[in-house]
Amino acid sequence: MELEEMKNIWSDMSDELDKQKKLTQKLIIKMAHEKSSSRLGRIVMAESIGTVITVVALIFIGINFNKFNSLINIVAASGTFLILFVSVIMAVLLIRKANLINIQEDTYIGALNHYTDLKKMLRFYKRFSIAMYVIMPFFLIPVVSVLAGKDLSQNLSELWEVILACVLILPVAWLAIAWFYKTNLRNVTAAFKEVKNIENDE
Amino acid sequence: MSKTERFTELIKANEGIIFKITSVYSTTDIDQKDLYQEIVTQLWTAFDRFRNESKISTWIYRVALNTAITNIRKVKKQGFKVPIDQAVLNYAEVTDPLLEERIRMLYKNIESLDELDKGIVLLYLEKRSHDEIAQIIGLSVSNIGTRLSRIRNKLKTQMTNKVSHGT
Repeated sequence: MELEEMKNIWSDMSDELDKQKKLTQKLIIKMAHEKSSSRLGRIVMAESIGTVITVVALIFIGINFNKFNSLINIVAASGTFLILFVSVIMAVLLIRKANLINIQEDTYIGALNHYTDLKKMLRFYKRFSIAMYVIMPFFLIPVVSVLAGKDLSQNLSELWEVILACVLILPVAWLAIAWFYKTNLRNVTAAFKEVKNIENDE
Repeated sequence: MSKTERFTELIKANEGIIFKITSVYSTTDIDQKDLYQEIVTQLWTAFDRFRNESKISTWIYRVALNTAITNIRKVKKQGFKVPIDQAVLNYAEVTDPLLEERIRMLYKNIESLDELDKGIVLLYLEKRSHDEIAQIIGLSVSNIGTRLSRIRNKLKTQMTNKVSHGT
């Protein structure tokens, strides 16, 4: 179908639509006052909640750092602290990136570029989360045990049993994380392709 | 006239535009309703900030298109699905079978374009000037012309391929 033909059909369709005004004042006001359900808003909200929880965990570990006495516990607490700290930094960067998208002021290409950047970052964040889940149990278990008043570093066989249990549930958790981020990563390939096209044009 | 009254007048006057944008960027009627809702919400939020620096139509297209590209959803594998061209036909209550078929073909053609070209074509079909399209999209006027000519060629090639494959 030629572009000019498409224009004619579009025009006929527009005429049909114009004949049928379906929105009432009540319906418009209801829609206008509805809480936004945008994907960007959801990403920002989820990351903000995650950041607050992580910061609380960081503060908690920091306050109780003197409880980690053995070498294993100090290494585990430092590792956990570092991973959580990097997660917070990444989440803050992600929120900043999402807030760069200005629906009202951006041009179409501007919004598309910002959105593509956000998707790239989300993809990296997904990989980071999956990698961290593999490493995290080894650091987190001694830390949680100390904070719960039971020092597993004093009983290495028990420590290994707990670590083994974590490794066994790893595939399930990995799938859950992958599924969570998949919802935020749709159309990424298409978006990359478009940005490449735009760059080529410029 | 209150803000609410001015806003409802604006949406009523442009409901067809919003509907057409949602129909191009959605894959199911449920997604389309969600997107419609989200666009109206975004327009309401931004309504106070609109300062008549651009045409009202330019502003509506910008907010609606930006909302659409940041809310694109993939077709769900499960669940009830109404193809968007059917949803459009239901809404517009088209009774002419020929026009119905042509609308279906039109949507198939639009679907074959990437997001950027889709935005440009939509504005072109809406009879916007190259100047206005450039302003909304964020490319130069000459670039818009170049891209439209490429799209034209792409559609021609698609048509030729279909004919040669007998579909």
